[in-house]
Amino acid sequence: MKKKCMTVLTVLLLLNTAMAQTRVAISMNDLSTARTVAVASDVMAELQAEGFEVEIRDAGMSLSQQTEDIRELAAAGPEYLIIAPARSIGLRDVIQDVAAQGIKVIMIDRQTTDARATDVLANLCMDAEWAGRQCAQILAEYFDGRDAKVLEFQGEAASWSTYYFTKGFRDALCAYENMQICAVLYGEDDRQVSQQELLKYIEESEVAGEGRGFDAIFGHGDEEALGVINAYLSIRGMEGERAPIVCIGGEDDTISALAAGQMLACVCMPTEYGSLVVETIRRDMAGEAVEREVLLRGEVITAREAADMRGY
Amino acid sequence: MNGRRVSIQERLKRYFSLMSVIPALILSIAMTAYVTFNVYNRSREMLSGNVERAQAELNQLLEEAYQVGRSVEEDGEIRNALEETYASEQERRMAELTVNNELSYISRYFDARIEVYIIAENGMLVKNGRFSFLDEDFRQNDWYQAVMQDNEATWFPLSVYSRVVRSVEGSYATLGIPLRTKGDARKLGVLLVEVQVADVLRDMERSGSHFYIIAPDLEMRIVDERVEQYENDVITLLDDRDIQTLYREDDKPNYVENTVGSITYWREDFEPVALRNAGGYVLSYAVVDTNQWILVNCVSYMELYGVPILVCGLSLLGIALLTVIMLWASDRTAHAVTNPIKRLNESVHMVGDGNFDLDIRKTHDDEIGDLSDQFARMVRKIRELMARVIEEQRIQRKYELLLLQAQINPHFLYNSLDSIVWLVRMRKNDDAEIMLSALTQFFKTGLNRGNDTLSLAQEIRNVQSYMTIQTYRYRSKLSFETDLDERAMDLEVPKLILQPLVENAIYHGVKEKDGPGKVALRCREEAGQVVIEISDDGPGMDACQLERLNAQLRDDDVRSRSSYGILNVQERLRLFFHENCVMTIKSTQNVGTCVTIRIRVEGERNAEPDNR
Repeated sequence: MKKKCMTVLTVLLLLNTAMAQTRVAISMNDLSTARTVAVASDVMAELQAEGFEVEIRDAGMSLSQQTEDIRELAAAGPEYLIIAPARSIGLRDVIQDVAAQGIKVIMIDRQTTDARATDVLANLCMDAEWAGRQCAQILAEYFDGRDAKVLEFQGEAASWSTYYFTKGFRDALCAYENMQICAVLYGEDDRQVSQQELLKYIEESEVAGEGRGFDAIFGHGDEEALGVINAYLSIRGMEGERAPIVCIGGEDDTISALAAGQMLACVCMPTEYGSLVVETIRRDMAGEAVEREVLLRGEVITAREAADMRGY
Repeated sequence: MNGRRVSIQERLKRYFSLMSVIPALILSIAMTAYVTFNVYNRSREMLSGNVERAQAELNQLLEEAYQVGRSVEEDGEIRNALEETYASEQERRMAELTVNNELSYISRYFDARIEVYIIAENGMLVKNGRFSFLDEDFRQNDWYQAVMQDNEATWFPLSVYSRVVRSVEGSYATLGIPLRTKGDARKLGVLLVEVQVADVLRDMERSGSHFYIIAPDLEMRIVDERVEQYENDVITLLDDRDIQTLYREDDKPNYVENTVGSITYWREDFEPVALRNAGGYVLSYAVVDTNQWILVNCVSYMELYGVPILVCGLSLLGIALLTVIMLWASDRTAHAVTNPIKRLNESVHMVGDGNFDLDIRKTHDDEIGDLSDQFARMVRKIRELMARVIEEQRIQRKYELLLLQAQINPHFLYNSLDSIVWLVRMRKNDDAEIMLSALTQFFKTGLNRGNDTLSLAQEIRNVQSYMTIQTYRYRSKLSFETDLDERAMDLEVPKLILQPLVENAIYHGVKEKDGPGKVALRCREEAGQVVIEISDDGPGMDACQLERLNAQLRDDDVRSRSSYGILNVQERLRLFFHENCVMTIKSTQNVGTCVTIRIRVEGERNAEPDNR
């Protein structure tokens, strides 16, 4: 028994020493939003708490910048490279190059659809399709069989997340004949753009004699939902006619809006990838099997839960 | 012709070298001057320009930040929301959303890099940006208390992180404005305006230079007439990608320490924009009016002047290389021009020293080549002439020897003397006397007192003496007749040219004939020529034999033993008369042979023969 304990202690000591010397590089797609800052902060905090040497780069949502960042980070010779991709395609070559150098790549948040499975140690991604389905179910429960026209507010055009949010939402909506999508607007992940787009849509609908033209709003992101709320606030006398809003996100402002009764619900997307990344690296270093595909789901927040919480 | 002799090649080398080196020198001087006066000054101007632009941009941004703050402070709707007391969390959150919206409207007219936050006494947290508030009660913070106490807008020291929201690492310049009610000055909260200075610096950053901001506190500290960094000074440093905020206790790069030591900033003396050198760096700095920050753009000498120096160095290297190549080319050109002349000169010297066996070749198809060619031809001709002279001398010596042998032909002498002895024994003393006289006459004429030439008359007398002896020897078998033209008798001829022909006529003609034979010597002058004919009525020669003999005469083939006598005569005549003398042989089988010598005398009588 004593011998076994000694062996375990020795292994742990060696593992700890190895981890202390391990260098991890992080290439973030962006650090200009609360969510990406939350993701990066969590990963960095967890890695640093474990004694890893961490270097991070911000690509500013530029694919070419991220490619350059990855090459520069890889040149420093880290053992692991964590990538939150700016785009779902376009990083295949650089990931292959990095993998060929013996650096283990872990994708987080979004995944690159064109990366070969063999080049990546693990994909730790949000379950975007699940989030879209949840939004549809929340609205279905709200309308409870009543007819409803849903206005879909998409965020970042032609992105991986937009595709899966839309797919999940529409797949789920097919089960509810009382609900249909009346229009799709594009908020470009910006609350002011979203606000202007909605105001324009309402104006056009009223001119066409269709009233406001929708019964509910599904926002792909916080900014779309907050832009809708700002549009509501800017129209006097509309308080009684406000259509319920559901969105995917979880920023502080969105939680406040929920707590203020301005939204029906928010499907909060996960930001806590840090512990999962550390666990993956720990397992890989110990020679254990690593789960290659992990889909993270968030939670549904309504006004009741929002009163006691803040967003990321 | 005084002084050291300088060769053409050396002169050409000097001229070419000068032509190469002078432009290179002028070019390098001009380049150095250009780099010194133009690039140097422009680099410094560019450095000053960079910092001035940065200063203007920072000033404008900070001024705008101040304006945003004041606009928000004066906004009635916001003030009302801040003065309210909210009964429920929902009400408060609703008010926050409303004010957020209002803030977004106001800040829309200002720079997008400006973020506005309100931390209100009533618990409201309002912002216009996307980042979420930190999870803490800001009202307990020192900066919050300080702003409320100061009761005026205050720029905080630079901070690495935002004071109120979750943000990435950077350099945040924060303006704190206390908010109070207008009437009773009740505390409403603090308005914070934050600018990410790192973004501004990054936009201004130029490759190879370091931008940084020194944010001094209000107290000065001067040690040894130099400003030391203040206790609370903060330096925001931008270096390539990284933005750092450095404090007094931090280890700073040398150029930052040098800057702090170099810049003396107190209000009275400090120049608003200046350029100075410090510890291997060129600093251009400017004061940002809004908050008295000192913005510094620092470039090392190597970074600032590296490229011009490199360009200049490479150019000088190129010029040096070019000069070497041109010198080499000059040397090659000089060699190319003068080498043929030099070789020709050497050839001329060697020929002058008597070496005519040179192989002078035309190596270039130009004027020098033509000259070489002509010289080679001249040398070749001289060589041929000399060979001919040598050959002629050799032949002459040979014939002189032969002549000497002919003069004292022992066989002839023995036969003649034997004939005389027999005449004496036979008591034919008169005949013996005649024969002895003829022999004496023959040798006397042959010797001719050592002269090689004699008149044709003397030569004919010699032949007559010879024939007298021979007719005594051969008696009735041989007869001799002459037919002489007196006009030709004066012609000077080499001695013993007829005797060998007459001897041939006897031994190859008459002697071979059955019965008596006749040898005839005719001499006449006709058409400017003296024609001498020696004929016999012997068996003659067949056509083949005659052709071979004539061919030997044409080719001067003196090596032929069979016709030695006649060829000897022809050669001597040619040496004496050159091309003015022709000898031909005609022969008819069973009729006889005739040797004809034709000597042109028209010019000959006036000209001096070679051997005379």
